[in-house]
Amino acid sequence: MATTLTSVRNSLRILKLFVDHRQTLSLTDIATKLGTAKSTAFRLITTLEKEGILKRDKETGRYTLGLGLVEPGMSFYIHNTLVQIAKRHLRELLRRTNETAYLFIPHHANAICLESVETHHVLRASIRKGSRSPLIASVCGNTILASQDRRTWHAHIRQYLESTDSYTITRHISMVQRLMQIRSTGYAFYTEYDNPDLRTIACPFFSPSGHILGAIAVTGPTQRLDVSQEKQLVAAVTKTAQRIGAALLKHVQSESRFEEVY
Amino acid sequence: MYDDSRTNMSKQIHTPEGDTMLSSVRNACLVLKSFRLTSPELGITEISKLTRLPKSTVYKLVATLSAEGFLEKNPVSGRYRPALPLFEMSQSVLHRIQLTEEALPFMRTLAQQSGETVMLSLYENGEVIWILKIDGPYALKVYSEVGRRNPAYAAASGKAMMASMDRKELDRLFALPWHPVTPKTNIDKAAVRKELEIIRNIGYATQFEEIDEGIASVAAPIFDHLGRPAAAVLVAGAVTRFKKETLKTLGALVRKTALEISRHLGYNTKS
Repeated sequence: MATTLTSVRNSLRILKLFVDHRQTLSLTDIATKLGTAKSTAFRLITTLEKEGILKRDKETGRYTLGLGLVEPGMSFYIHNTLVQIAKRHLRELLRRTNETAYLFIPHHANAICLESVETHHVLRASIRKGSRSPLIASVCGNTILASQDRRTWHAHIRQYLESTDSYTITRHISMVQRLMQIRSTGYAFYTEYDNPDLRTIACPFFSPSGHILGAIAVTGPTQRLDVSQEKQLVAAVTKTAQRIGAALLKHVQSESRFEEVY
Repeated sequence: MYDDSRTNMSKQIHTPEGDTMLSSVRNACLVLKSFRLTSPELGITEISKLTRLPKSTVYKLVATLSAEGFLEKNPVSGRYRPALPLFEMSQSVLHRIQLTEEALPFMRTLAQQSGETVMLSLYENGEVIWILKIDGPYALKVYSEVGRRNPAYAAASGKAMMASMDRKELDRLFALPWHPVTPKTNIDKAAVRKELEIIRNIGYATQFEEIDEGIASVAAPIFDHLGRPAAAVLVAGAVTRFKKETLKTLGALVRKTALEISRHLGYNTKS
Protein backbone atom coordinates (compact mmCIF):
# COMPACT_ATOMS: atom_id res chain seq x y z
CA MET A 1 0.00 0.00 0.00
CA ALA A 2 2.89 2.32 0.74
CA THR A 3 3.96 2.42 -2.89
CA THR A 4 0.44 2.76 -4.25
CA LEU A 5 -0.16 5.77 -2.01
CA THR A 6 3.18 7.18 -3.15
CA SER A 7 1.87 7.12 -6.69
CA VAL A 8 -1.33 8.84 -5.57
CA ARG A 9 0.74 11.48 -3.81
CA ASN A 10 2.91 11.93 -6.88
CA SER A 11 -0.10 12.34 -9.12
CA LEU A 12 -1.46 14.98 -6.74
CA ARG A 13 1.91 16.71 -6.84
CA ILE A 14 1.57 16.80 -10.63
CA LEU A 15 -1.79 18.53 -10.28
CA LYS A 16 -0.26 21.03 -7.87
CA LEU A 17 2.37 21.89 -10.48
CA PHE A 18 -0.42 22.99 -12.78
CA VAL A 19 -2.07 25.05 -10.03
CA ASP A 20 1.26 26.71 -9.17
CA HIS A 21 2.53 27.32 -12.68
CA ARG A 22 -0.72 28.13 -14.48
CA GLN A 23 0.62 27.00 -17.80
CA THR A 24 1.22 24.05 -20.04
CA LEU A 25 3.96 21.63 -19.01
CA SER A 26 5.89 19.07 -21.01
CA LEU A 27 6.61 15.53 -19.85
CA THR A 28 10.22 16.56 -19.19
CA ASP A 29 9.09 19.58 -17.12
CA ILE A 30 6.85 17.37 -15.03
CA ALA A 31 9.42 14.63 -14.49
CA THR A 32 12.08 17.19 -13.53
CA LYS A 33 9.86 19.08 -11.09
CA LEU A 34 8.61 15.82 -9.61
CA GLY A 35 12.10 14.35 -9.38
CA THR A 36 11.08 11.02 -10.90
CA ALA A 37 12.07 9.07 -13.97
CA LYS A 38 10.31 10.12 -17.16
CA SER A 39 8.73 6.69 -17.44
CA THR A 40 7.16 7.01 -13.98
CA ALA A 41 5.87 10.51 -14.71
CA PHE A 42 4.54 9.33 -18.06
CA ARG A 43 2.50 6.53 -16.52
CA LEU A 44 0.99 8.86 -13.94
CA ILE A 45 0.21 11.49 -16.57
CA THR A 46 -1.41 8.93 -18.86
CA THR A 47 -3.66 7.77 -16.04
CA LEU A 48 -4.66 11.36 -15.22
CA GLU A 49 -5.25 11.99 -18.91
CA LYS A 50 -7.56 8.98 -19.19
CA GLU A 51 -9.57 10.42 -16.30
CA GLY A 52 -9.90 13.73 -18.15
CA ILE A 53 -7.95 15.53 -15.45
CA LEU A 54 -5.03 16.36 -17.70
CA LYS A 55 -5.24 17.09 -21.38
CA ARG A 56 -2.52 16.66 -23.97
CA ASP A 57 -2.27 19.16 -26.79
CA LYS A 58 -1.99 17.09 -29.95
CA GLU A 59 0.15 19.66 -31.73
CA THR A 60 2.66 20.61 -29.05
CA GLY A 61 2.52 17.42 -26.95
CA ARG A 62 2.34 19.58 -23.82
CA TYR A 63 -0.13 19.03 -21.00
CA THR A 64 -2.75 21.28 -19.41
CA LEU A 65 -5.55 20.72 -16.93
CA GLY A 66 -8.61 19.09 -18.46
CA LEU A 67 -12.24 19.37 -17.47
CA GLY A 68 -12.19 16.33 -15.18
CA LEU A 69 -12.07 18.15 -11.85
CA VAL A 70 -13.99 21.29 -12.76
CA GLU A 71 -17.15 20.09 -11.08
CA PRO A 72 -15.62 19.27 -7.65
CA GLY A 73 -13.83 22.64 -7.81
CA MET A 74 -17.02 24.50 -8.58
CA SER A 75 -18.75 22.54 -5.85
CA PHE A 76 -16.32 24.10 -3.38
CA TYR A 77 -17.26 27.54 -4.68
CA ILE A 78 -21.04 27.12 -4.90
CA HIS A 79 -21.29 25.71 -1.39
CA ASN A 80 -18.74 27.94 0.30
CA THR A 81 -20.37 29.87 3.15
CA LEU A 82 -18.08 32.85 2.81
CA VAL A 83 -18.77 33.19 -0.92
CA GLN A 84 -22.50 32.93 -0.33
CA ILE A 85 -22.38 35.64 2.31
CA ALA A 86 -19.91 37.94 0.54
CA LYS A 87 -21.47 37.96 -2.93
CA ARG A 88 -24.28 40.39 -2.13
CA HIS A 89 -21.99 42.74 -0.22
CA LEU A 90 -19.42 42.79 -3.02
CA ARG A 91 -22.11 43.70 -5.55
CA GLU A 92 -23.16 46.52 -3.28
CA LEU A 93 -19.53 47.67 -3.04
CA LEU A 94 -19.26 47.60 -6.84
CA ARG A 95 -22.40 49.73 -7.09
CA ARG A 96 -21.01 52.27 -4.67
CA THR A 97 -17.50 52.55 -6.05
CA ASN A 98 -18.09 51.53 -9.66
CA GLU A 99 -14.84 49.56 -9.54
CA THR A 100 -13.96 45.86 -9.44
CA ALA A 101 -14.65 44.52 -5.94
CA TYR A 102 -13.34 41.22 -4.63
CA LEU A 103 -12.59 38.92 -1.72
CA PHE A 104 -9.27 37.24 -1.00
CA ILE A 105 -8.47 34.58 1.57
CA PRO A 106 -5.02 33.46 2.74
CA HIS A 107 -3.68 30.08 1.68
CA HIS A 108 -0.07 29.35 2.69
CA ALA A 109 2.10 32.14 1.25
CA ASN A 110 -0.60 33.36 -1.13
CA ALA A 111 -3.90 35.13 -1.19
CA ILE A 112 -6.56 33.45 -3.35
CA CYS A 113 -9.46 35.33 -4.88
CA LEU A 114 -12.71 33.59 -3.87
CA GLU A 115 -15.16 36.01 -5.42
CA SER A 116 -14.88 38.98 -7.72
CA VAL A 117 -17.40 41.31 -9.34
CA GLU A 118 -16.12 43.41 -12.22
CA THR A 119 -17.09 46.90 -13.25
CA HIS A 120 -18.21 47.57 -16.82
CA HIS A 121 -15.65 50.34 -17.39
CA VAL A 122 -13.57 49.58 -20.49
CA LEU A 123 -10.46 50.47 -18.53
CA ARG A 124 -10.65 48.35 -15.39
CA ALA A 125 -8.85 45.98 -13.09
CA SER A 126 -9.59 42.37 -14.00
CA ILE A 127 -9.30 40.22 -10.90
CA ARG A 128 -10.50 36.75 -11.67
CA LYS A 129 -11.91 34.20 -9.29
CA GLY A 130 -9.38 31.55 -8.35
CA SER A 131 -6.40 33.76 -9.10
CA ARG A 132 -3.63 33.98 -6.53
CA SER A 133 -1.14 36.62 -5.52
CA PRO A 134 1.71 36.37 -3.04
CA LEU A 135 0.81 37.77 0.39
CA ILE A 136 3.94 39.85 0.23
CA ALA A 137 3.59 41.22 -3.31
CA SER A 138 -0.02 42.36 -3.59
CA VAL A 139 -1.92 45.04 -1.70
CA CYS A 140 -4.65 42.61 -0.77
CA GLY A 141 -2.06 40.08 0.40
CA ASN A 142 -0.29 42.74 2.46
CA THR A 143 -3.56 43.53 4.20
CA ILE A 144 -3.84 39.89 5.27
CA LEU A 145 -0.17 39.60 6.19
CA ALA A 146 -0.34 42.80 8.29
CA SER A 147 -2.60 41.10 10.81
CA GLN A 148 -0.31 38.10 11.20
CA ASP A 149 2.65 38.05 13.60
CA ARG A 150 5.92 39.81 12.91
CA ARG A 151 7.99 36.68 12.57
CA THR A 152 5.77 35.73 9.67
CA TRP A 153 6.33 39.19 8.14
CA HIS A 154 10.09 38.84 8.25
CA ALA A 155 10.05 35.34 6.83
CA HIS A 156 7.83 36.43 3.93
CA ILE A 157 9.78 39.60 3.22
CA ARG A 158 13.14 37.86 3.27
CA GLN A 159 11.98 35.01 1.10
CA TYR A 160 10.33 37.33 -1.40
CA LEU A 161 13.19 39.81 -1.72
CA GLU A 162 15.75 37.03 -2.01
CA SER A 163 13.75 35.27 -4.70
CA THR A 164 13.60 38.47 -6.74
CA ASP A 165 17.33 39.11 -6.16
CA SER A 166 16.55 42.53 -4.76
CA TYR A 167 17.23 41.95 -1.08
CA THR A 168 18.38 45.06 0.73
CA ILE A 169 17.84 46.16 4.31
CA THR A 170 16.18 49.36 3.04
CA ARG A 171 13.61 47.37 1.11
CA HIS A 172 13.06 45.08 4.06
CA ILE A 173 12.46 48.02 6.39
CA SER A 174 10.16 49.83 4.01
CA MET A 175 8.03 46.71 3.70
CA VAL A 176 7.85 46.33 7.46
CA GLN A 177 6.79 49.97 7.66
CA ARG A 178 4.03 49.41 5.19
CA LEU A 179 2.70 46.42 7.11
CA MET A 180 2.83 48.44 10.34
CA GLN A 181 0.92 51.24 8.67
CA ILE A 182 -1.77 48.86 7.44
CA ARG A 183 -2.03 47.29 10.85
CA SER A 184 -2.43 50.60 12.66
CA THR A 185 -4.93 52.17 10.23
CA GLY A 186 -6.85 48.96 9.53
CA TYR A 187 -6.74 49.38 5.76
CA ALA A 188 -4.39 49.60 2.77
CA PHE A 189 -4.46 52.26 0.07
CA TYR A 190 -1.58 51.69 -2.36
CA THR A 191 -0.73 51.24 -6.03
CA GLU A 192 -0.32 47.61 -7.07
CA TYR A 193 3.07 45.89 -7.07
CA ASP A 194 2.82 44.44 -10.56
CA ASN A 195 0.98 47.39 -12.11
CA PRO A 196 1.57 50.94 -10.85
CA ASP A 197 -1.38 52.18 -12.92
CA LEU A 198 -3.75 50.36 -10.60
CA ARG A 199 -4.60 51.34 -7.06
CA THR A 200 -6.12 49.04 -4.45
CA ILE A 201 -8.06 49.82 -1.31
CA ALA A 202 -8.20 46.77 0.95
CA CYS A 203 -9.51 46.02 4.41
CA PRO A 204 -9.23 42.80 6.42
CA PHE A 205 -12.12 40.99 8.08
CA PHE A 206 -11.96 38.67 11.05
CA SER A 207 -13.69 35.72 12.61
CA PRO A 208 -15.68 36.32 15.79
CA SER A 209 -12.63 35.16 17.74
CA GLY A 210 -10.42 37.75 16.04
CA HIS A 211 -8.70 35.39 13.64
CA ILE A 212 -7.91 36.83 10.18
CA LEU A 213 -10.23 35.36 7.54
CA GLY A 214 -9.43 37.44 4.50
CA ALA A 215 -9.61 40.86 2.90
CA ILE A 216 -12.13 42.84 0.91
CA ALA A 217 -10.72 45.08 -1.80
CA VAL A 218 -11.49 47.42 -4.65
CA THR A 219 -8.99 47.92 -7.47
CA GLY A 220 -9.12 50.39 -10.33
CA PRO A 221 -7.02 52.73 -12.47
CA THR A 222 -5.16 55.34 -10.39
CA GLN A 223 -6.71 58.13 -12.46
CA ARG A 224 -10.15 57.20 -11.15
CA LEU A 225 -9.09 56.08 -7.67
CA ASP A 226 -7.04 59.12 -6.77
CA VAL A 227 -5.89 60.27 -3.38
CA SER A 228 -8.67 62.86 -3.09
CA GLN A 229 -11.17 60.01 -2.82
CA GLU A 230 -9.27 58.02 -0.24
CA LYS A 231 -11.71 58.78 2.57
CA GLN A 232 -14.86 57.78 0.70
CA LEU A 233 -13.30 54.66 -0.79
CA VAL A 234 -11.87 53.51 2.50
CA ALA A 235 -15.25 54.08 4.17
CA ALA A 236 -17.01 51.95 1.53
CA VAL A 237 -14.51 49.08 1.71
CA THR A 238 -14.32 49.13 5.51
CA LYS A 239 -18.09 49.06 5.78
CA THR A 240 -18.29 46.07 3.43
CA ALA A 241 -15.67 44.19 5.44
CA GLN A 242 -17.57 44.93 8.65
CA ARG A 243 -20.85 43.82 7.15
CA ILE A 244 -19.37 40.55 5.95
CA GLY A 245 -17.83 40.00 9.39
CA ALA A 246 -21.19 40.67 11.03
CA ALA A 247 -23.05 38.41 8.59
CA LEU A 248 -20.57 35.62 9.34
CA LEU A 249 -21.08 36.09 13.06
CA LYS A 250 -24.83 35.91 12.60
CA HIS A 251 -24.48 32.77 10.51
CA VAL A 252 -22.28 31.18 13.14
CA GLN A 253 -24.66 32.07 15.95
CA SER A 254 -27.79 31.00 14.11
CA GLU A 255 -26.47 27.64 13.14
CA SER A 256 -23.65 27.19 15.62
CA ARG A 257 -21.43 26.15 12.74
CA PHE A 258 -18.36 28.18 13.41
CA GLU A 259 -15.93 25.55 12.20
CA GLU A 260 -17.60 25.46 8.83
CA VAL A 261 -16.50 28.99 8.15
CA TYR A 262 -12.83 29.51 7.45
CA MET B 1 -32.87 11.64 -8.20
CA TYR B 2 -29.34 12.19 -9.40
CA ASP B 3 -28.01 8.98 -10.72
CA ASP B 4 -24.29 8.72 -10.63
CA SER B 5 -23.80 7.55 -14.15
CA ARG B 6 -20.33 9.05 -14.34
CA THR B 7 -18.93 6.39 -12.06
CA ASN B 8 -20.18 3.73 -14.39
CA MET B 9 -18.66 5.41 -17.39
CA SER B 10 -15.31 5.51 -15.74
CA LYS B 11 -15.46 1.75 -15.58
CA GLN B 12 -14.90 1.80 -19.32
CA ILE B 13 -11.36 2.89 -18.81
CA HIS B 14 -8.86 0.10 -18.62
CA THR B 15 -5.51 0.22 -16.93
CA PRO B 16 -2.90 -2.44 -17.58
CA GLU B 17 -3.77 -5.55 -15.67
CA GLY B 18 -2.13 -5.95 -12.31
CA ASP B 19 -0.95 -2.38 -12.29
CA THR B 20 -2.16 -1.59 -8.80
CA MET B 21 -0.13 1.59 -8.55
CA LEU B 22 -1.95 3.18 -11.44
CA SER B 23 -5.31 1.82 -10.42
CA SER B 24 -4.87 3.57 -7.08
CA VAL B 25 -4.26 6.83 -8.95
CA ARG B 26 -7.39 6.14 -10.95
CA ASN B 27 -9.31 5.41 -7.76
CA ALA B 28 -8.10 8.68 -6.24
CA CYS B 29 -9.51 10.43 -9.31
CA LEU B 30 -12.81 8.62 -8.84
CA VAL B 31 -12.97 9.72 -5.23
CA LEU B 32 -12.37 13.35 -6.20
CA LYS B 33 -14.95 13.16 -8.97
CA SER B 34 -17.65 11.87 -6.64
CA PHE B 35 -17.90 15.40 -5.21
CA ARG B 36 -20.46 17.08 -7.41
CA LEU B 37 -22.49 20.26 -7.32
CA THR B 38 -25.36 18.20 -5.96
CA SER B 39 -23.20 16.28 -3.48
CA PRO B 40 -20.76 18.82 -2.01
CA GLU B 41 -20.02 16.83 1.13
CA LEU B 42 -19.58 13.10 1.41
CA GLY B 43 -18.72 10.60 4.12
CA ILE B 44 -16.51 7.55 3.63
CA THR B 45 -19.52 5.23 3.25
CA GLU B 46 -21.13 7.44 0.61
CA ILE B 47 -17.91 7.72 -1.37
CA SER B 48 -17.50 3.97 -1.14
CA LYS B 49 -21.00 3.49 -2.58
CA LEU B 50 -20.51 6.04 -5.37
CA THR B 51 -17.12 4.73 -6.45
CA ARG B 52 -17.84 1.07 -5.68
CA LEU B 53 -14.52 0.87 -3.89
CA PRO B 54 -14.09 -0.88 -0.54
CA LYS B 55 -14.40 1.40 2.48
CA SER B 56 -10.86 0.66 3.60
CA THR B 57 -9.50 1.77 0.21
CA VAL B 58 -11.62 4.92 0.27
CA TYR B 59 -10.46 5.66 3.78
CA LYS B 60 -6.79 5.55 2.80
CA LEU B 61 -7.34 7.57 -0.37
CA VAL B 62 -9.35 10.24 1.46
CA ALA B 63 -6.58 10.47 4.08
CA THR B 64 -3.98 11.04 1.35
CA LEU B 65 -6.20 13.52 -0.54
CA SER B 66 -6.79 15.44 2.69
CA ALA B 67 -3.13 15.42 3.67
CA GLU B 68 -2.27 16.85 0.26
CA GLY B 69 -4.89 19.57 0.67
CA PHE B 70 -7.33 18.45 -2.03
CA LEU B 71 -10.10 17.53 0.38
CA GLU B 72 -10.98 18.91 3.79
CA LYS B 73 -13.05 17.54 6.61
CA ASN B 74 -16.03 19.52 7.81
CA PRO B 75 -15.51 19.30 11.57
CA VAL B 76 -19.23 19.71 12.24
CA SER B 77 -20.64 17.06 9.93
CA GLY B 78 -17.53 14.88 9.93
CA ARG B 79 -17.85 14.57 6.17
CA TYR B 80 -15.39 15.56 3.48
CA ARG B 81 -15.59 18.31 0.86
CA PRO B 82 -13.39 19.67 -1.95
CA ALA B 83 -10.76 22.15 -0.78
CA LEU B 84 -9.34 25.36 -2.19
CA PRO B 85 -6.78 23.96 -4.71
CA LEU B 86 -9.61 22.23 -6.59
CA PHE B 87 -11.37 25.57 -6.90
CA GLU B 88 -8.18 27.15 -8.21
CA MET B 89 -7.83 24.34 -10.75
CA SER B 90 -11.39 24.64 -11.97
CA GLN B 91 -11.07 28.40 -12.40
CA SER B 92 -7.83 28.12 -14.29
CA VAL B 93 -9.41 25.56 -16.66
CA LEU B 94 -12.54 27.63 -17.23
CA HIS B 95 -10.51 30.76 -17.77
CA ARG B 96 -8.32 29.10 -20.36
CA ILE B 97 -11.14 27.93 -22.59
CA GLN B 98 -10.99 30.54 -25.32
CA LEU B 99 -14.40 29.53 -26.56
CA THR B 100 -16.13 31.16 -23.61
CA GLU B 101 -14.75 34.55 -24.52
CA GLU B 102 -15.60 34.14 -28.18
CA ALA B 103 -19.12 32.98 -27.44
CA LEU B 104 -19.94 35.46 -24.67
CA PRO B 105 -21.29 38.40 -26.73
CA PHE B 106 -23.54 36.10 -28.79
CA MET B 107 -24.81 34.40 -25.68
CA ARG B 108 -25.61 37.72 -24.01
CA THR B 109 -27.75 38.65 -27.01
CA LEU B 110 -29.50 35.28 -26.84
CA ALA B 111 -30.22 35.77 -23.11
CA GLN B 112 -31.74 39.17 -23.91
CA GLN B 113 -33.81 37.85 -26.81
CA SER B 114 -35.04 34.70 -25.11
CA GLY B 115 -35.38 36.02 -21.57
CA GLU B 116 -34.12 32.65 -20.30
CA THR B 117 -30.90 31.26 -18.88
CA VAL B 118 -28.30 30.66 -21.58
CA MET B 119 -25.45 28.20 -21.19
CA LEU B 120 -22.47 26.88 -23.07
CA SER B 121 -21.72 23.20 -22.86
CA LEU B 122 -18.77 20.98 -23.81
CA TYR B 123 -18.75 17.26 -24.52
CA GLU B 124 -16.24 14.88 -22.97
CA ASN B 125 -16.28 11.10 -22.57
CA GLY B 126 -20.03 10.64 -22.86
CA GLU B 127 -20.85 13.59 -20.67
CA VAL B 128 -21.59 17.26 -21.11
CA ILE B 129 -20.19 19.91 -18.80
CA TRP B 130 -21.57 23.41 -18.48
CA ILE B 131 -18.79 25.96 -18.71
CA LEU B 132 -20.56 29.30 -18.99
CA LYS B 133 -23.90 30.56 -17.79
CA ILE B 134 -25.73 33.82 -18.40
CA ASP B 135 -28.93 34.52 -16.54
CA GLY B 136 -31.84 35.96 -18.47
CA PRO B 137 -34.54 38.16 -16.92
CA TYR B 138 -36.46 35.06 -15.74
CA ALA B 139 -33.31 33.46 -14.32
CA LEU B 140 -33.87 30.07 -12.74
CA LYS B 141 -32.86 29.01 -9.32
CA VAL B 142 -31.85 25.50 -10.27
CA TYR B 143 -28.53 23.77 -10.17
CA SER B 144 -27.81 24.95 -13.64
CA GLU B 145 -24.37 25.90 -12.48
CA VAL B 146 -21.05 26.09 -14.24
CA GLY B 147 -19.09 22.89 -13.77
CA ARG B 148 -22.06 20.58 -13.52
CA ARG B 149 -21.82 17.36 -15.53
CA ASN B 150 -24.56 15.20 -16.96
CA PRO B 151 -24.80 12.27 -19.33
CA ALA B 152 -24.87 13.51 -22.94
CA TYR B 153 -27.97 11.45 -23.85
CA ALA B 154 -30.05 13.26 -21.19
CA ALA B 155 -29.01 16.84 -21.98
CA ALA B 156 -30.31 18.90 -24.91
CA SER B 157 -26.75 20.15 -25.50
CA GLY B 158 -25.49 16.57 -25.44
CA LYS B 159 -28.05 15.41 -27.98
CA ALA B 160 -27.32 18.44 -30.15
CA MET B 161 -23.65 17.45 -30.27
CA MET B 162 -24.42 13.74 -30.64
CA ALA B 163 -26.46 14.52 -33.76
CA SER B 164 -23.35 15.71 -35.57
CA MET B 165 -20.70 13.69 -33.80
CA ASP B 166 -18.34 11.39 -35.71
CA ARG B 167 -19.41 7.79 -35.98
CA LYS B 168 -16.71 6.32 -33.77
CA GLU B 169 -17.45 8.52 -30.78
CA LEU B 170 -21.19 8.03 -31.21
CA ASP B 171 -20.78 4.24 -31.25
CA ARG B 172 -18.71 4.47 -28.11
CA LEU B 173 -21.41 6.53 -26.42
CA PHE B 174 -24.15 4.11 -27.46
CA ALA B 175 -22.07 1.22 -26.15
CA LEU B 176 -21.97 2.69 -22.63
CA PRO B 177 -24.57 1.69 -20.05
CA TRP B 178 -27.20 4.44 -19.83
CA HIS B 179 -28.89 5.39 -16.58
CA PRO B 180 -31.80 7.74 -16.03
CA VAL B 181 -31.05 11.05 -14.30
CA THR B 182 -34.75 11.70 -13.58
CA PRO B 183 -37.78 9.46 -14.16
CA LYS B 184 -38.23 11.30 -17.47
CA THR B 185 -34.75 10.62 -18.86
CA ASN B 186 -35.07 8.72 -22.09
CA ILE B 187 -32.61 5.83 -22.02
CA ASP B 188 -34.20 3.93 -24.89
CA LYS B 189 -31.25 3.89 -27.28
CA ALA B 190 -33.33 3.18 -30.40
CA ALA B 191 -35.63 6.09 -29.58
CA VAL B 192 -32.65 8.38 -29.04
CA ARG B 193 -31.21 7.33 -32.42
CA LYS B 194 -34.49 8.41 -34.01
CA GLU B 195 -34.44 11.63 -32.05
CA LEU B 196 -30.95 12.38 -33.40
CA GLU B 197 -32.36 12.08 -36.95
CA ILE B 198 -34.96 14.71 -36.14
CA ILE B 199 -32.33 16.95 -34.53
CA ARG B 200 -30.23 16.74 -37.71
CA ASN B 201 -33.24 17.91 -39.69
CA ILE B 202 -34.46 20.75 -37.51
CA GLY B 203 -31.03 21.86 -36.30
CA TYR B 204 -31.77 21.92 -32.59
CA ALA B 205 -32.32 19.46 -29.73
CA THR B 206 -34.71 19.57 -26.79
CA GLN B 207 -34.96 18.08 -23.35
CA PHE B 208 -38.00 18.11 -21.06
CA GLU B 209 -37.29 17.38 -17.39
CA GLU B 210 -34.69 14.77 -18.35
CA ILE B 211 -32.12 16.42 -16.07
CA ASP B 212 -34.04 18.49 -13.53
CA GLU B 213 -37.70 18.27 -12.71
CA GLY B 214 -39.55 21.30 -14.01
CA ILE B 215 -36.76 22.35 -16.36
CA ALA B 216 -36.65 22.13 -20.14
CA SER B 217 -33.96 23.24 -22.56
CA VAL B 218 -33.28 23.78 -26.24
CA ALA B 219 -29.77 23.44 -27.68
CA ALA B 220 -27.86 23.70 -30.96
CA PRO B 221 -24.33 22.58 -31.80
CA ILE B 222 -21.41 24.95 -32.39
CA PHE B 223 -18.98 23.78 -35.06
CA ASP B 224 -15.27 24.43 -35.31
CA HIS B 225 -13.46 25.36 -38.54
CA LEU B 226 -13.34 21.68 -39.53
CA GLY B 227 -17.08 21.26 -39.07
CA ARG B 228 -16.74 19.16 -35.93
CA PRO B 229 -19.13 19.82 -33.04
CA ALA B 230 -17.00 21.84 -30.58
CA ALA B 231 -19.65 22.80 -28.05
CA ALA B 232 -23.36 23.53 -27.77
CA VAL B 233 -25.31 26.59 -26.79
CA LEU B 234 -28.53 26.09 -24.89
CA VAL B 235 -31.46 27.95 -23.45
CA ALA B 236 -33.01 26.54 -20.26
CA GLY B 237 -36.16 27.53 -18.43
CA ALA B 238 -39.29 26.38 -16.63
CA VAL B 239 -40.91 23.57 -18.61
CA THR B 240 -44.23 25.44 -18.42
CA ARG B 241 -42.79 28.22 -20.56
CA PHE B 242 -41.47 25.84 -23.24
CA LYS B 243 -44.73 25.26 -25.12
CA LYS B 244 -44.98 24.26 -28.75
CA GLU B 245 -44.93 27.72 -30.34
CA THR B 246 -42.30 29.15 -28.00
CA LEU B 247 -40.22 26.07 -28.65
CA LYS B 248 -40.06 26.80 -32.37
CA THR B 249 -39.06 30.41 -31.76
CA LEU B 250 -36.44 29.39 -29.20
CA GLY B 251 -35.16 26.62 -31.49
CA ALA B 252 -34.67 29.10 -34.30
CA LEU B 253 -32.97 31.60 -31.99
CA VAL B 254 -30.61 29.02 -30.50
CA ARG B 255 -29.76 27.63 -33.94
CA LYS B 256 -29.03 31.14 -35.22
CA THR B 257 -26.80 31.93 -32.22
CA ALA B 258 -24.90 28.63 -32.57
CA LEU B 259 -24.34 29.33 -36.25
CA GLU B 260 -23.07 32.84 -35.53
CA ILE B 261 -20.61 31.51 -32.96
CA SER B 262 -19.55 28.73 -35.37
CA ARG B 263 -18.87 31.27 -38.14
CA HIS B 264 -16.96 33.37 -35.65
CA LEU B 265 -14.79 30.30 -34.99
CA GLY B 266 -14.10 29.92 -38.70
CA TYR B 267 -16.79 27.42 -39.64
CA ASN B 268 -17.87 27.57 -43.28
CA THR B 269 -21.60 26.86 -43.66
CA LYS B 270 -21.17 25.04 -46.94
CA SER B 271 -18.91 22.37 -45.52
